[in-house]
Amino acid sequence: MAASSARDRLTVIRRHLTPHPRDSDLQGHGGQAEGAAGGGGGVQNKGIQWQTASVTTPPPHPHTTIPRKRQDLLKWNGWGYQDSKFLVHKEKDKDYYVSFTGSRYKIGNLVLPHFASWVKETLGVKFDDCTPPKPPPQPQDYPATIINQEFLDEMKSLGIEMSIEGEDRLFRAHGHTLAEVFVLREGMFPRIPDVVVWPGNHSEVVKVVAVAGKHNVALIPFGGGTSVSGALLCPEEESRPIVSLDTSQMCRILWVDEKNLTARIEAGIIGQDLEKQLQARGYTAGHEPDSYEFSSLGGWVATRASGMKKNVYGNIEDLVVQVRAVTPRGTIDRYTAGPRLSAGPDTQNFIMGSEGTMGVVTEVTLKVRPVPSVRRYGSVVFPDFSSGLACMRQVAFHRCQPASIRLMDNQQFKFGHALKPPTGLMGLLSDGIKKIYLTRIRGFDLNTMCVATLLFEGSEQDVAQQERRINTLALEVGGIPAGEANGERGYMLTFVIAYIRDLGFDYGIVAESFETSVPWDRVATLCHNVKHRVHSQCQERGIKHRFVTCRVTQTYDAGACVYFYFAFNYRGLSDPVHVYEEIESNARNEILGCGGSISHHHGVGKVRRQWMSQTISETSLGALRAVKQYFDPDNIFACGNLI
Amino acid sequence: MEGAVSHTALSEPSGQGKPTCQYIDLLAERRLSSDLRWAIREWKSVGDYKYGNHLTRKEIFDHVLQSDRVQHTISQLVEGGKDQEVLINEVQEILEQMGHTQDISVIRQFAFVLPKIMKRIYGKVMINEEGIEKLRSTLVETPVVLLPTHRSYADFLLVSYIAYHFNLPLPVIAAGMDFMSMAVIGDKLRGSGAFYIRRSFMDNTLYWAVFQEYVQTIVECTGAPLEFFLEGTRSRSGKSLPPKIGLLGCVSECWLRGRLPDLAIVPISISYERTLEEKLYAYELLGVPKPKESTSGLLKATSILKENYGDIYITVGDAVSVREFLEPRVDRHLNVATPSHLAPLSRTELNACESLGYHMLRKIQQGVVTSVWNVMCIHLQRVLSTGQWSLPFDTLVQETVWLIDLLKRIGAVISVEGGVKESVERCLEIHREVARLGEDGRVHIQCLHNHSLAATNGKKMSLKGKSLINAVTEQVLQHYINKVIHLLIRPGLLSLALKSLELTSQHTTTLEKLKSRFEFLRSLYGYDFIFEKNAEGRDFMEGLSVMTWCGEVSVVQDHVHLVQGGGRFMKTLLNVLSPFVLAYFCTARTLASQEWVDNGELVAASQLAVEKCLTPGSGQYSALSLDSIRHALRALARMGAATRTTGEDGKVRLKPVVQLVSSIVEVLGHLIHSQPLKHKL
Ligand SMILES: Cc1cc2nc3c(=O)[nH]c(=O)nc-3n(C[C@H](O)[C@H](O)[C@H](O)COP(=O)(O)OP(=O)(O)OC[C@H]3O[C@@H](n4cnc5c(N)ncnc54)[C@H](O)[C@@H]3O)c2cc1C
Repeated sequence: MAASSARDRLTVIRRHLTPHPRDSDLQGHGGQAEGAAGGGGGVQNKGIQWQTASVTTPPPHPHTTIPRKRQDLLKWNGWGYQDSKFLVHKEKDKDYYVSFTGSRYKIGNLVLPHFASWVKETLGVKFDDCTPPKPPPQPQDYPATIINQEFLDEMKSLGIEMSIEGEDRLFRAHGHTLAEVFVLREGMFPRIPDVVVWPGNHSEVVKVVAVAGKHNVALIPFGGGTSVSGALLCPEEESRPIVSLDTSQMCRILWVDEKNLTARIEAGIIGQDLEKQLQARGYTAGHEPDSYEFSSLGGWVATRASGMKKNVYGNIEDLVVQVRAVTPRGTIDRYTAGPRLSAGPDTQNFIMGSEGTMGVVTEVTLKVRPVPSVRRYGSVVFPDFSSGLACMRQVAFHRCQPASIRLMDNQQFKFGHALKPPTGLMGLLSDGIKKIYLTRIRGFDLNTMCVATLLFEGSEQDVAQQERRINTLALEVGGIPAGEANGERGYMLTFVIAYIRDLGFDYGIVAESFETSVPWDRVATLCHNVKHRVHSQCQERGIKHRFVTCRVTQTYDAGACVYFYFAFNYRGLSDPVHVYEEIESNARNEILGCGGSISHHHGVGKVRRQWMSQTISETSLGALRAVKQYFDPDNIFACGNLI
Repeated sequence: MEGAVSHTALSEPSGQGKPTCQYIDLLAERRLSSDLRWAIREWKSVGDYKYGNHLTRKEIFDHVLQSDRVQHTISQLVEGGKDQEVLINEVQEILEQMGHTQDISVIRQFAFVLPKIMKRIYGKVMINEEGIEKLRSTLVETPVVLLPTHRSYADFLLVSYIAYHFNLPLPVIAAGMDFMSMAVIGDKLRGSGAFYIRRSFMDNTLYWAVFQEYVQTIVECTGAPLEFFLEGTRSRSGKSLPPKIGLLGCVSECWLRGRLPDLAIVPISISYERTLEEKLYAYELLGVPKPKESTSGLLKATSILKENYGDIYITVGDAVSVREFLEPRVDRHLNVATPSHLAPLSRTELNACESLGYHMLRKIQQGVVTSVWNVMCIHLQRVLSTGQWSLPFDTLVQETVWLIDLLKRIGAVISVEGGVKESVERCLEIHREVARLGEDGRVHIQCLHNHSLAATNGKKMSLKGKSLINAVTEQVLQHYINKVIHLLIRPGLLSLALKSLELTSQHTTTLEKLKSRFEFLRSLYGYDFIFEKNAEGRDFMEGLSVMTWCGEVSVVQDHVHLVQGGGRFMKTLLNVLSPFVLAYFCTARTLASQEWVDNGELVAASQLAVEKCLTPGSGQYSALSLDSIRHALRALARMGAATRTTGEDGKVRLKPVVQLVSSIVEVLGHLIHSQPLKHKL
């Protein structure tokens, strides 16, 4: 009835607008309107056309930065590239010092003269007391496999690449939470994937999922493996074979639509490859989570990731136009690429943030932007955290955020200083002058001071204007612009900081981060209370040396994202991971009690599942379960995340 | 200097294996040196909250006025037709009236005067030094709320004085308005850190908002220790009063709404060997109207200066973390999405705060140091219940030795100096107005009633003069008995439960029946005595284990036997509780007799009913206490024995629920009529 009345109305309107309608014309239009309302032929037609186009010009399979044998380039038991790491040195008759190896990052191949003493002071590290990780496992060390031969046979006959080698399986058995890396260094997971498969495109995924369903085999999608929520861990109690579906070979940009500034991209592409390829054509997606060197487009969608430059480009949910995903029930698709839709609850949201529980994301239409002409860093120092926060609030209030603005607390400010490379005489001099100016003349206290780092992108004119606005707002709350170099260092450290944890492990330090989103009026108390809670938890457990710090990494109209780092010296504790988890759990309770959320971007996975019912109501959770039940009645996607 | 401090070690309950507590005398040093030098010494607090900010009176006022809560309340009232300017002025006035100033020079004046007075009327002022040092380290870490007991006006500056003595941050004290009107004293108290709160203001939204904001500003922003009396008012009866949760809820809100990471609540138990207001309280409890708390009233108390009030023991207890206590009881995440000032405490949250209140009272009780006198009073009262007014000194000593021993083993901390005999002598000296040692070697209990005092009070009294002869003395004794009654109440209620089940040595009852009777009595007496919420099982087990351990009952396979119809301890317990049984019985019966217009009338009628039951040799005159009668009525209403309705005339009516009241009357009746328990001395 709705369709017919719609058609009636349309006919009436058309008669009014067209003085002499030709019969065929009217027919055609009417037919299309009917088709749209009923979900019929018209759209399908268009779809076929598009498909033929893409088939006739298959994009070449590009080079991927990370090989299929990931362990050839990346550490098997820690973060990032093998050639990049912190090293401790000792020269005869001299103190220990630390350096960073490799030439991939700006602090690469540099000695960091202040770092060793910072570590000693803050975390009580004794460099003589080193616990190196255990060597890579021998073939017999890997957990026994549960194999379904028919599944393997079918994969082979379909020509889908796969592996049952221990190294390949282990690499896909984990993400990068503290607990996971600790297991890699000290022990072995009770369960790892039994098989790894590498489908090369959407239709191969369709086949894998169908075969998995047929043989009742569990699937866990694997993107870049940077998960920090335990999402990739194999459920111990899973008795079926577990297959890791590695998406890394689905890494093509299928097309770029320059008129609409969108691109159709396969979901396994990792951030740095995506950017390289887009930028080669003059575009950027602008999505830069701190893990973007390694994390994948599909992973971003599956975790609702957030990029550093979201102020200009948006978070992943703002960037995504269409998502295509394969579930055991069938393929989820949105046919229209229209910029906004009023068509009931957004079913793409069943997939965004689904953390591998519903199916595999295979293709995504993403917004792209022309590469900006200017990219500039900046920084502002504030006498204390609360004035820094006031500035952040004002910036958000006036909606004049640059691409990125981040506020570090005093502890992190000092930490950043500890990572400074040696400076020449001039550098020392100007640093000295700066310090004297700030402390003596402006009355800043080195023990309360904090810094905001800024990243601007746009035209020269835009950037200059943004800089002026930020500086004005900063000055109003007592901030002082502190130059480009400090800002740039801040963002570079963001990528390097993940490497520090591996160094810490060697010397009895465990470290982890956790984050939340919180309304503006509660940011200050949340930061304070959570740090206090962590400290008091440490005290209760006799942890003397600890480092608890936070930064505000994103701002919104209604609140901010706060990111905590927590490290402690675990010498003398028998089970540091358990202790850490207890403390983080306390911290999360505090966060929720202070008005913060379960997560701003890391997601829920397994480690935060217990707080879902404090986040959304039982009814909402039930709806999620029902959706899962519909897409995946046999629980093929059995990772056990989220719900 | 060290040498001047006298140390007294009190043995703690043996069962708990805690180390003995060291108490030191605050006055020892003062007795040796100049008070003036003491008052003008260099003074700086050590142990301030590490995130505290010093705010001036003006800054606090501005903070309160600018707060979302007060601004919101004003705008709501403006919508209701009020004038904004007027309202802002009203806030200023409230603040002027409320606001404290803390001025070290005023504290110094007190530091000069108080030791002078204390040295005169008290022997020693003992405090556990360890508690002070623990408090100091807590103060640095987290905002602190100090909860002292309230038994006397003398409590008022004691904590501030202690802070001065030990160089602790000075507390900001919540005080009732009645103090403010006292000439000089009112301002001096303000100057020493007191702020004033009106007695009832729940229906004044603006006042309520200002008050909450004021309290929270102190706790959250300044981090100064906040002191208030959980019981709301001085307990005339000597027992703990049920907690008032207004202020406790207000400070808990700082944590509940995520504005503070935690708050530490520190119980402070102040035990006076002799209460300044002992007689005044007795009259008040009997219904002689309370004199207005004016300076002249206090000045009249200058006669006090001639008397000896014994020692004071102060125990600063371990801090209770609000977070640790409340976190398992509330769901903070349910309320944090609403702006804090628009999210008043939920039912669950208020309940949790109430539990916290009861928990704190229990902690306070555990810090009480019992005097030998308290134990003696139990025996003196029993003498009265045999119709006599004297007993041999030696008997009193023997009885006291026996009970002290027993009490110690069930957790009492008792200050005994020298032997018990010496202590008894000393107590009779201090309390000579109540009982004194005669030439004849007997202890004579005194009639404390003073006709002139009652007569000058103008207002007509309902009680007969004759009743007062016993009543005043017994009320004073009860006051001191009540100071240890928290130790006896669990085994006491268990004894009542056993008795009410008509248990003789041949009969046994099941644990289950006994427990349910115990729980019934526990809820009936839930206002007169402090029981932690949801701790029925624990209380029952505690009562049962004490009774088993004393050899009064034995438990065999879920059956409870009364050994030989109840021994000496059980008789003592029943005797101690008998006034409470009588008061509740008469109150319930009075309630059952008709529909009542309001409490006042019903209270008076109940008291009259009690009076009719009393005979001079009953020893139950403290059943006339209006406190108990009011508590009984509250409990009955809570248990559903009466329904409250507002009639067309706007009057509140209390209607008995006949069946329930009768069953309660019946149980209590049993206990009254089976009273063959007075044993002759
Ligand atoms: C050092 C570091 C910095 C980080 N910084 C950020 C940051 O700034 N912002 C941010 O948002 N996150 C950040 N993260 C977290 C992590 O990088 C993100 O969650 C990222 O989106 C995960 O992507 P991935 O490709 O690595 O997914 P994986 O880790 O491989 O998988 C994560 C989850 O998604 C599922 N999944 C992966 N691919 C698919 C697919 N194609 N279809 C369906 N499900 C899939 C997996 O099954 C798993 O449940 C950081 C992590 C680290 C270690």
